[in-house]
Amino acid sequence: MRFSELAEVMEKLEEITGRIEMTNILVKLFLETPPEIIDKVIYLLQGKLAPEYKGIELGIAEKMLIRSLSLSSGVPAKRLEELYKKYGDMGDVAYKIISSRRAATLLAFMGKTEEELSVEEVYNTLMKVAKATGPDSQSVKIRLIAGLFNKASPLEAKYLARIILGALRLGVADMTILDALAIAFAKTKDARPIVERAYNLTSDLGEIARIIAEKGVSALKEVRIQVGRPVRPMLAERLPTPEEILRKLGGVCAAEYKYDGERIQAHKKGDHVVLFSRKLEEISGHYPDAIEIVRRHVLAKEAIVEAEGVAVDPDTGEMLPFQELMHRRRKYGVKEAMEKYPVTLFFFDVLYVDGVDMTLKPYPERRAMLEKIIRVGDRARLATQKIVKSVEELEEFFELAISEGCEGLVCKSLSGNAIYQAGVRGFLWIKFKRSYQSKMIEPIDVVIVGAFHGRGRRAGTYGGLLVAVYDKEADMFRTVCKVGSGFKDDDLAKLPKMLEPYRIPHKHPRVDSKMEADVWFVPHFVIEIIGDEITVSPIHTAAMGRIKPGAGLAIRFPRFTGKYREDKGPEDATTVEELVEMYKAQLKKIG
Amino acid sequence: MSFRFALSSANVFLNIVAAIKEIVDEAAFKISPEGVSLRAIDETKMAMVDLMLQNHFFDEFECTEESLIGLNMSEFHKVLKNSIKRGRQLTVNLPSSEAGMLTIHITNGARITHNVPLIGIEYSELPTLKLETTARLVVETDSMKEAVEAVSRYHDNIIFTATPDEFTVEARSERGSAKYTLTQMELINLEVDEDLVRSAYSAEYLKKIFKHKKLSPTIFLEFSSDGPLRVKYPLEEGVAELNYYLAPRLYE
Repeated sequence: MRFSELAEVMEKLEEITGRIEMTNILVKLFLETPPEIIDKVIYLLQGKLAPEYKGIELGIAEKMLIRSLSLSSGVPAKRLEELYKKYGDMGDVAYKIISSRRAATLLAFMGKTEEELSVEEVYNTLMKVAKATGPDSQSVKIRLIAGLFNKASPLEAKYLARIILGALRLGVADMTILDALAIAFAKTKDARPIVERAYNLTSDLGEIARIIAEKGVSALKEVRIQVGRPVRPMLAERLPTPEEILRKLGGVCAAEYKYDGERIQAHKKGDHVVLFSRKLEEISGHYPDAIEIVRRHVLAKEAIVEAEGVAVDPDTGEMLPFQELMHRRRKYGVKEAMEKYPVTLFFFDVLYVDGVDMTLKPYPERRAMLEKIIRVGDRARLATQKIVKSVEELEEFFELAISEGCEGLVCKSLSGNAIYQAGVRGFLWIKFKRSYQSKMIEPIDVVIVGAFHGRGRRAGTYGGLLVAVYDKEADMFRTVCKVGSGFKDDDLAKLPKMLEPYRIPHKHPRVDSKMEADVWFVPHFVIEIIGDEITVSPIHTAAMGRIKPGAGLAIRFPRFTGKYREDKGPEDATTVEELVEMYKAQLKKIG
Repeated sequence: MSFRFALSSANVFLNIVAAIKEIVDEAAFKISPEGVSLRAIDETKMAMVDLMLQNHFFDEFECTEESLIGLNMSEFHKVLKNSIKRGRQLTVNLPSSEAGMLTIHITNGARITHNVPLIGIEYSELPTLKLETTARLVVETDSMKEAVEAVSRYHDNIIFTATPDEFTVEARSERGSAKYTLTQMELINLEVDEDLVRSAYSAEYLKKIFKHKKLSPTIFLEFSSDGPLRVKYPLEEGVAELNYYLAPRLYE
């Protein structure tokens, strides 16, 4: 197949915005494409060489493309850079340059005419570019690309340049390609779900296309979930209120914590573990520790499981915000990041276990299987889950999730048809996230009323302090959070000694707490803390019932600012009134 | 498929491989009873390298039937470079003790043995380039290297001009221009059939082509107006040579 045919289709697609028209053009293209290269045509249409999960990237930036084009055309790189600044698109630059060039290869002097570019040649050459390594690889890549430009027509050059730079934005969505494949090869739209399911299980449009083009739609039914190949994740719809969520799910659901971390799909085959991100990129390299957790805690020879990876402070056991985990998203320093932000996996679903495709089983069965194959440990846990039947139960569980650092809940259908819908965003799973948020913009002064024993590096000192604000009206101290972050080693070393004189064997009568601390103190010391926001919480007693019945206010992701307010007595701490005012003043609608 | 050849100076072979790898990353040597040859065109089809080493160029040469030896030239060069020092000898053997490998011994007292993996290469005989050149000159390799380095800062297109009296290398752009002139006096030989012969070539390739003084201190240049350039490194007159061919830059 000539590359010019594909370039012409690309040109047409660029001018089209309607999905139906786009589909029709693709149907025609797919029928004209020899089945054995339809995968390559599809990858190129999407500006890639392979599905994301294979991690094959061209890695060519403008500079290198300019050098290739310069080598091919004889136009100095400086001039090309100027043109690029003027047009803002290397495709247009390539078009212009190749238009005004006369062929100047040796073949012309050998009495041979240059063959036209074929799709295979373009694909295979770009694959060589992607795979070139070693000391001379730069110059090899430049020559390979220049070789393509030497054979290209202006239009071909335009799309070559865009493909190479990853700037081919035709807007050909996966779903449009699936539509076109179903119409082209099954002649009926009924085949669409079969095509889509095969895609959702393999995450490889090219392969699906080849199967249907070569063997027909019935062969697609044979496509199976496979360890090592990412499955397109099931996604949750969103509803704003707990009432609507419960109604939609038939009055009862399994509510699961929605952790503020990275969704990880883990594939285990014996001792070999591969991890994929939500976008199906391989992320094994970022999470050597997660691989180890899966190896040790997933009790199956072969399995595909899903978990939320969350950074947990090794000293306090508290979950850290998502941003902390993003330190892992880099090529270097993974080891350091791993020590500083070790990941804990909260498993929430299982897609495959030892030969059994679990995606077709209902959620309760999958959860039961998950509970069976996960050996729970410190860093391998099951997503906290509760079966809820009322709005009140759902709200309370939601607030608990928020105060523990989660984003909210995912409410899952318990019905018999609640299968794992790979690649689908549907109402079998419904997100319950907050629609309001109260940012914390200034620190508050809190009184230390209790403490928790430390573990690990903090053994022998305190792992966290229970702190409270002052309720002037009742002359009580009401808890607002447990704080463990922000303490330096010096602080930790002196805390037990500093607090010892105030230690008492039971909760102080002026302290109101639902939380059971390991150690209690007479309210005396005041420290300054700040957090990300002030949230409604069922477990803290500050401003209980003021914002919401049965719930108080709490500080989310609190940390010590380093300031001991020795100048302040406990009654000088931030008051409940002030906290309520701060909450209201900063309350903003989100999402 | 079997052959064996030896050279008393391993360095010569190293320099040949270095000259080939400038143009092609992967290529195949053709080994026949007549000798060793290689003709390969680069990915851009703008440059070609053509090597001919007749059997009596070698100190020892045994070959009964033709074979093709595909190699990754950069890798091959790296392997040789680390083992070859002045005064060492080289023998190349096939079949090797290991399947799919080429065995190389480098000796001067101690013996270094390398087994280098062969690669499959789609081999198609390239047609011979028949050149009708109107300018022919013999020049010191270093002069050409110096000329290209001096002028290429102004433009990637380097213009070669030959008249019956002199040969010039120049480049020009808005940023300035430079010209390098060699008269009859500085040239070893100059033959020009027309009043003026002029053609332009890519500096990037010229730099690769003119850096092999170790192959030969003098080279033969041939070209015609808007025609390809041939650069010949003579290794042994009539017995061994390495040629580069380079397509011209054409103007609108």
